[in-house]
Amino acid sequence: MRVLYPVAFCMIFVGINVKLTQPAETTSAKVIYGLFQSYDSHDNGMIAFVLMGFLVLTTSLGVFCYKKRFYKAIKLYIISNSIALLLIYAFFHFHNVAQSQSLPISLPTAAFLTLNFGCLGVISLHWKSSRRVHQFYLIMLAALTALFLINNLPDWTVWIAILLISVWDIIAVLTPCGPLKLLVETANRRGDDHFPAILYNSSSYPGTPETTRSNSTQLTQFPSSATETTPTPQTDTLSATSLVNHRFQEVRVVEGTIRLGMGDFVFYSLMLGNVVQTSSVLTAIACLVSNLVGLTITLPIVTLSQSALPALPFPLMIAAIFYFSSHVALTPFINECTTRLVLF
Amino acid sequence: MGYLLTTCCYIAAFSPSVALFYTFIAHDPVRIILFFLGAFFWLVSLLFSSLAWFGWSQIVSNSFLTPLAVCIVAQEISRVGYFMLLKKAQRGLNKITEQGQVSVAPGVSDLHNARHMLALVCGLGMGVIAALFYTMNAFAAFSGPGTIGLPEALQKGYLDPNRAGKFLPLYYVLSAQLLTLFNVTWTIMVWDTCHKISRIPSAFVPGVAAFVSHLLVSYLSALNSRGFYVPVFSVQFLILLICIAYCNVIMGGTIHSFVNAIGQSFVDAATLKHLRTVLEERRRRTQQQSVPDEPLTERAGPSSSTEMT
Repeated sequence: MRVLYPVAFCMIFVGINVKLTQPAETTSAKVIYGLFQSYDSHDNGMIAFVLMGFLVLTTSLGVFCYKKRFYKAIKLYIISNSIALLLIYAFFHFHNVAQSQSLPISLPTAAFLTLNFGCLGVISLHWKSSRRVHQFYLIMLAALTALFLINNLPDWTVWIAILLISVWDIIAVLTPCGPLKLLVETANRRGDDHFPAILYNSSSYPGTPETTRSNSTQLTQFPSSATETTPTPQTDTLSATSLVNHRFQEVRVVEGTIRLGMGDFVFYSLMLGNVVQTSSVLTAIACLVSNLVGLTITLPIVTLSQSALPALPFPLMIAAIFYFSSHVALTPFINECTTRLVLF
Repeated sequence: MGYLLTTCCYIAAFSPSVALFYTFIAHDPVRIILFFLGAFFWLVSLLFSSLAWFGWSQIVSNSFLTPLAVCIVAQEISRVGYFMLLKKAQRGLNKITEQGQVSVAPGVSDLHNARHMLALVCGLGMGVIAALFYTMNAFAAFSGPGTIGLPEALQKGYLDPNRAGKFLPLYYVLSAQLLTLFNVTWTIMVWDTCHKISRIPSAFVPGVAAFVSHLLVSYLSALNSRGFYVPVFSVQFLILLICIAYCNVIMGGTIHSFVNAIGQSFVDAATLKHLRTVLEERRRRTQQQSVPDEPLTERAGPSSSTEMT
């Protein structure tokens, strides 16, 4: 439950932002700017594969660094990532939002606001802050990454990338020599709880009633999370060359604590953003619900099996089924019902 | 204007469900999860029925009523499936907790003895998502640059079959409310059948009643597109009332107690009982606060020390 709220929050945030930045009339025929220079659908698959390759590379590199105890390199990389995202990309994104909503904001104001936002984010991620703020900025980071990807990738590339990354997730977590499995095992062997993965820490079981742990966990969890803030925020999101690598997509259970890799956040909200961009609100809600349900189905399995599991494939698969079938059948059916005022 | 109308529509359409949600569901995370699962099961049934509709519409053109029946059947099947899943989960959880571990989801085990509450929670999930899907497109259209059918209906003053004129938002709102409450009642009925059918053979009555009323309501609403709004809605509300009374009987009440409770609730609403209880509680709380207990003094401790420094 503790994990579901932030995931839902992240996805809804991305959806709203995509909706806001979207011009009112264009629903299809997206113009692709920027990095990848793909104006036709030929290269879509290629881009996804390049992305995938980069991801595999960075994952392996990160795990290598961790095994060899190159903590400095990892930390530097992460800090540069979060600065690039929270300060620079946030600025551009809010500029976009303001432009498409035709809000006249002066440049100094915008700079001031984003500087406040980003600096607080960087400080709270890498130094110390209260737990809520820390979690909020983790979510923001994931959301901004997803927004960046959505704005720069063509529609179909997003789906191909999601497919590939789900496959990679399975490989990395489940196969014996997968990097994520190595990472988890190394971390377990060294016994440090705070291995440099970017993980959303929820301090409870998925289904514990909140009334029973309202006070006690607050007190017990706060110091531990405060000590964890320094190494934990490994935001494997964007480098200065602005590409992604989501290394640590797994759900892990440590002593009743569910941890969800930030990569999961990114890809859930990436999918939702794409859905919002390309189809109706109806489909988006269907995808949101099915995604959350997929996650709720995954989480008890993790708790039962007591091991790291890939959290991506199952929810995304359900959501993809809904997305594609809603294009064919669901939306027309609902439209038919609605226009005839037929209760169903 | 459009946005205002849309907001009003949403508020009015989902006020019953929000009230139910806050009284029964919001305080328990497990119930929220069950709520979402109910929504998901409804979505799955809708998915199958819409696929069936798609296939059917390829063969027979311009037929809508047969796929509607398929949709209803699929919904009831999904209800039964959800019930079976929950039973299985409860059994599994009981098996796990017997081994001496902490229960993974304590709330599900707790809800073992409260099956009607469970039915309400899941049915509300189904109803809310159904109402949302039903009304969202229409409300989005209301918020748009123009309101459907408004100028023409005002000028000519006649009912276009598909456009009810200025009362169209009201009809959508009423339909959404109906849909939400109906789903709750149907779920309670169907689950009662599912619970008892293995022991008492005559327990199929509630399930059949739910199915029949579902069919009846849906096919009645098909008359909406011919313009019979008022009779259709009055009959539907009558059916809803009967369904609620029947659910009350299932839960162990009698007709007499049901009527009594309704009368009591009207009296309460008229005499602002809710407001009175809130005021009462606030007064009680202020009385309690006048006698400070230990946490308060603890919290007051550091602040007073900072004042001293």
